[in-house]
Amino acid sequence: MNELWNENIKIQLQRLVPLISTILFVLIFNIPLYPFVSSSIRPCVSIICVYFWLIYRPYLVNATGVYLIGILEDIISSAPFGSNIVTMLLVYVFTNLISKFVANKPFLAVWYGFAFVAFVTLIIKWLVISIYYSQFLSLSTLLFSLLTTIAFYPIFSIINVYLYEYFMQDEE
Amino acid sequence: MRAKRKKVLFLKLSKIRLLTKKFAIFLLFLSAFAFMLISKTDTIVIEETSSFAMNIVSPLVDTLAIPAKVTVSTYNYIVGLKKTYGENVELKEENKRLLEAQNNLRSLEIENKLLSELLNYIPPPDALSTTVRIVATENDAFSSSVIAYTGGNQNIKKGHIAVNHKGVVGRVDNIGNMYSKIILITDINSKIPVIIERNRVRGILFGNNTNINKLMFTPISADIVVGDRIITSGVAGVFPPGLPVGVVISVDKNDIKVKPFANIQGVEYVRIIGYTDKNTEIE
Repeated sequence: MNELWNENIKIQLQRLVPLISTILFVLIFNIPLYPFVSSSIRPCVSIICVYFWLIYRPYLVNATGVYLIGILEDIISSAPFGSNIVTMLLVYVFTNLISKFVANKPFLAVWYGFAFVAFVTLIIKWLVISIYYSQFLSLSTLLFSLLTTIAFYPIFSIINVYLYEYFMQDEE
Repeated sequence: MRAKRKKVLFLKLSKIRLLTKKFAIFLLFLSAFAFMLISKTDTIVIEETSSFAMNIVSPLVDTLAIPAKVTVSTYNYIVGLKKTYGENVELKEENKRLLEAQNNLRSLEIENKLLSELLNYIPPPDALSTTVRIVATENDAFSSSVIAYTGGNQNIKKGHIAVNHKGVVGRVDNIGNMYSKIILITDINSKIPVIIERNRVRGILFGNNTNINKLMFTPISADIVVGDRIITSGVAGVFPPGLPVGVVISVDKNDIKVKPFANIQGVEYVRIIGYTDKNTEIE
């Protein structure tokens, strides 16, 4: 009975690894790391992680979890409250839409898929916030943020694969 | 009969559950847009919820930052050791110059006091300052802010200005029990009344989520040139006057760009300045 209980807790905790690791990455990427890393060249780590887990382990990521990550980003950020929730929900919707085209495909295809999702999501976020402020935000900063996010995808994929192998190998 | 009723109720409930599941994403989107609408109307609800949540999230970032802080301080120590000798020589020279300047300042201060008394001049209220540490930064295309550990300091109020040794960094936007959010001067929400030091031309400095600010609402005929220093004007009694903000880097028709003096990227500690006069505090 006790073993069964422990086993159940272990399974539940393993299922939380994607959410907890994404939250940790979001928090870590808000730590002031100057002079090593300038705060303007940081990728949108939440988009990377949510996309990764939705492609490789979709049953571990649900809309509520994604919503929570959005709230966390809204708390830290000075962007309009709710804008990061919209962004994360957009990632959730678009990734689910394209997952059948990129799942079980070579890494390059998954990366292209990510570039598409990140592009569409950030453009919509840019539009929503521009409408909110009634003025267009800088496109060059957006482009820079987008390129950084796409460039960082392989690095976070490796980290997430490592997390999966370390914590969740016996999950299935 | 009772069993039948229960069955009908169960069926109804499961239908509602199915519908909710079907429209969950739609509802979540709707709630997110509702949050945005509420925050647009500047209601206290979002602000208070946000500061409550900030007090929970910020200690987590602060704890996670410990290894990063150790690495950064070790790096700075090693780099600092290398520079120390050269800096020491430069500092001795600077010290001599500063002593001379201090003597001049003293005489100017006395002169200023005498002239002020002569003119019956009423000086601005005294400013209170508190130094705080930055624990989290957010700087991208959509926002530009930092979270500072204020440790429940009662002197810090919404609207107070944040400066570092180079100039104005931002203003306090959200006060929590232990942590406060500071909107940087590069944020799109930042609007600071400023003047040009050389000719006292007034204007408003706007942030736009880039590293460069825009100076607006200056007179069309104003004489503004590249290299002009921008300082706070103290208009409306919100910010103390005379704090350095930035330097003009380009002047086009209706487009004056200003580069902030303070290194917004690398801000580690800031001084929060606010007037002691209760009438001038922003609530």
